[in-house]
Order: sequence, then C-alpha cells, then structure tokens
Amino acid sequence: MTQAGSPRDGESGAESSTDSGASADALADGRSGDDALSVSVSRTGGVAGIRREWRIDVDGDGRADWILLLDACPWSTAEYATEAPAGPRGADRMTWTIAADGPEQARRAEVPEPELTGPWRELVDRVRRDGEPVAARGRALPREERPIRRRPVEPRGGA
Amino acid sequence: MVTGIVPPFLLSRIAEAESARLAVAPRAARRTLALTDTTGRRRAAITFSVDGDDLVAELTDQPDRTIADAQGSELLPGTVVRKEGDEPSGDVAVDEAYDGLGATFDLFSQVYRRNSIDGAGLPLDASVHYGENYDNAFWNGERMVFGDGDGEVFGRFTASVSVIGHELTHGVTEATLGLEYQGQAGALNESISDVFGVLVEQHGKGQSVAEASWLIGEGLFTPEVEGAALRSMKSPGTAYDDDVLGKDPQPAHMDDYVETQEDNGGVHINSGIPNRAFYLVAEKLGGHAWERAGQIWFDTLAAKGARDRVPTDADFARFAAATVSAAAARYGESSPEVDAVRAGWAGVGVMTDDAGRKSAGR
Repeated sequence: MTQAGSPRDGESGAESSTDSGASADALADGRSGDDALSVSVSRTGGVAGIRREWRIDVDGDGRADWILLLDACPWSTAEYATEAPAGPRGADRMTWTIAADGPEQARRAEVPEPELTGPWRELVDRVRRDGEPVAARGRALPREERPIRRRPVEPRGGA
Repeated sequence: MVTGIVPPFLLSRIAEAESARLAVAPRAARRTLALTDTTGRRRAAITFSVDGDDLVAELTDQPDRTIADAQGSELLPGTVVRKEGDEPSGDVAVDEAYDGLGATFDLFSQVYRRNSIDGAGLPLDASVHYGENYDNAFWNGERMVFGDGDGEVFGRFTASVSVIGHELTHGVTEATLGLEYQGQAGALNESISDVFGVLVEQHGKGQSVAEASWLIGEGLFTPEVEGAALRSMKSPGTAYDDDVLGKDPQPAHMDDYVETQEDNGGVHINSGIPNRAFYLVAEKLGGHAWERAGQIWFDTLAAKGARDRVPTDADFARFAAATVSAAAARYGESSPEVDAVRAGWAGVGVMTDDAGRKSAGR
C-alpha cells in the first residue's frame, strides 16, 4: 500500500514549519503569531498489534471549533486512568493516544478503547475523517519535514 | 471420545431411544444423537455402532455455539443469528465465526481432551459485524468479537481461522494460567493464542510442520497492503512491509526484545520470541505440530499444577522452564521432546543450556 496523497502536495510546509516541540517552546518563550494547531490520534494494540495514526493540522476558520472540542475532552481524567492497571479480563483491545499541539495546547492522553466515548470518540472520529493517515514510514521523518496539510474543518454537526 | 463414566442423563436417553432398534441393525449401522444435559451447558454427541453382539456407544463432547450480529453497532451481544446446530445463515462472517469456533473446539476437545474454554463445556459466544469499519477482533472476557475491517487495510476478521482460534485461546489462557496482559507475561499470553491459533488451522487442514504457513491472520489484509499476514511464527518480523503500516516489528530473538510502553508493553510485538521458540520445537520434532509440540504447550497451560509452575506474572524464562517440565513429565527426562524444547528456547536466546547451545542458531 502506498501513502494516500503525496507528502508534498497541497500547501507545504515552509510558512508553518516550526521548531520541534514548537508548542511548548512557543508557550515558554511567549512567542505569538503561529496559531497552528495539530491534533493526532493513534491507536496501538488490537489483535493485529499494528500502530495506526491520523493527524490534522488546523488553522484559520475551523480552529476555534476544534479547540471547543479539545476542551470538552476529559484530559486530566484520562491521564489518571492510564495509571490504573489493565483490567483482569479480556485481550486484544486497542488503546488510543491522543495529542494536541498548539500555542495554547500541548496535551496528551491515553484512552483505552472501551473508554473512547463522548467527546473523545467525537475527536477521534473527526481526525480520522477530516485528517490524513500518517504513513508509518513518515513517522521516521523529523518533525519539520513532516507533510503539512491544511484543511478547514467543517462546522460541528456538519456533513 | 470421552473416557470415564457416562453421565446418567445419557444412559437414560440411550435406554429409551435407540438401543432396541440398533441391536437389530446391520453391523455398519451408526447413529449419532446430539444431547444436552438438563443444565443446558454440556453438550455431547453419542454415536452408536454395533460390533458383533455388542452395542458400542461413543460419547463425544460437542460445542455450544451462538453467533450474534452486532449490525454495525458497538453494543454487545447484538441479535442472535445462528445457534448450535442451525443451518448456515448465508452471512459469511456469521458462518466463518461458527465454523472457526467449531474448528477451535475440535482441536482442544479431540487432541487435548479439553471440553471448551473452561474444560466444562462453556458455551462459545461470538459477535460479528461489530462497529463501523472496525479493524479488530478481541476477547472481552466473555465472548469473541469480530469487526468487518475498514476495507482499505483490513477486511473482515473472521476470514482467518487462526485469528478465531487466537481469540478463543485467550479465553482458555484466562481460565487456566490467567497470565497478566502486560510485559513478558502478556507476550506469553499473546503467543499462546498464536500457537493454538495456527494449530487450529493446521489441524483443520491436516498440515504438517513443513506444509504449514505458520502465519497468523493470513488473508486479513486487503490486496492494497504489502504483506501476507499479521505475524509469522516461523520468521517473526517478516509478515508485512508496507508504506502505510510500516514493517512487521516482531523480534525473533531476545537480543532484539522491544522495550515499549505501547501495546501493554509490546505484547503483540515480543510474542515473536516465544512464537519462534514454539516453531523451532515443532520443526525439530516434525510431523504434526499439534501432536507433540502442541501437547507440551497445552500441558504447560492446563495440566495439573500448571499455575504453580507458571505464575500470572511469568517471564519468558519461567514459562520456558515450565515447558521443559511439561515435556519431561509426558515424554521422559531423556527424550527427544525435552531436547527439542530446550533447543527451541535456546534458539531464541531464552535458554542457554548445553543441549540448547549445540543446536541453537538463528
């Protein structure tokens, strides 16, 4: 299987390329002007044991809407939940890792599949629908060389 | 055939039903009845035949399968669409699940004399068509659940008998050793599911060690994916190599053990090591892998005292030692089986004994 879409198509990266760890650095330095927000969702485990990742880079019109959704997610609860031991029964369930990076956002949570409900579920579904799959080969690229693809998001509840 | 005392409920059925007719039937006459005891749990088939003047009754444990259709929802169990003894439903996922559970039941029952997951005829429940574009199959502690796949990377998860066997075996492991689903114990839990998953397929096809593919989940990927299966027990790390999915990350030797936080500490990754050990044992012994290699692994899992030899947090070395004990108990301390088991674990760097060192190799 080849990667869907060329990594270099669409508006590419120069104007939005950032140093690695951009959001945290930007916060610390008090820099402004780069309001790029990136959300990635990845799943691990499952009977296949194959990691898959989807990602969306957002700016402009849809940004506020994404932030609303991100803020609706119970990040602190999820961080707490990951420290709980795995349940005593069952096998081959997947775990989702959800990360948001932006000027005001540097959040990360791990959510076991059975707990992927409510806003978590909405977030994952939207990133998978509106974002792009990240090819496994692409993960080896340094952050600044990652393909950047920008898309306005549809309003919540839209088609 | 089950040895031991025929349960009273069966004796009464035999007496009331068929014996008179069979007694005068031709020598070749055989008749099989499906019977369920009054608790509704244990099912058995009884086959009558006439041998000279004797009426011979053979009792065989039978599965009690129920397949439900989640109809694209994530609500379990869904609607029951096929129960034990029903005709094929015409829905390929339903019928594959039914047949795959039957093949798995047969391996455990016919080869290892274990009656279902709990050894006491536990009904086998599965749900298919779970979720939308759902890329997984899992054991939730009560039932086996199968998604249809997204159609881009994965097709339906019932398409591989080894995956169905893998899921059911999670139930067996839970009922026996109760291995934790984390780290090396978790990788052993995964490997045991892979071992009996491939053995279900080999047993069903009558394949020898040399004929078998040793692949788990063959045919699950769509043609778009560059890969044959989810995992290879013969050559861990070679099952797929694809731009989107990446390369199969399984190690085949302790030198390459993967330390990771993901996947409960890499339970689906490091299972490559005990998987390869099992393959090496089977290859050394030849013939049908389910016979001796599989018996040793089964004894390690479920023989009397198994839990004392393999604690729930066992590491590879502890499990390996238990397989050597199991081989010695069944075949003798000085047996080709014990040598093969030691060599298998030495071949993946888990054991370093002399017997293993001689034949170790990668």
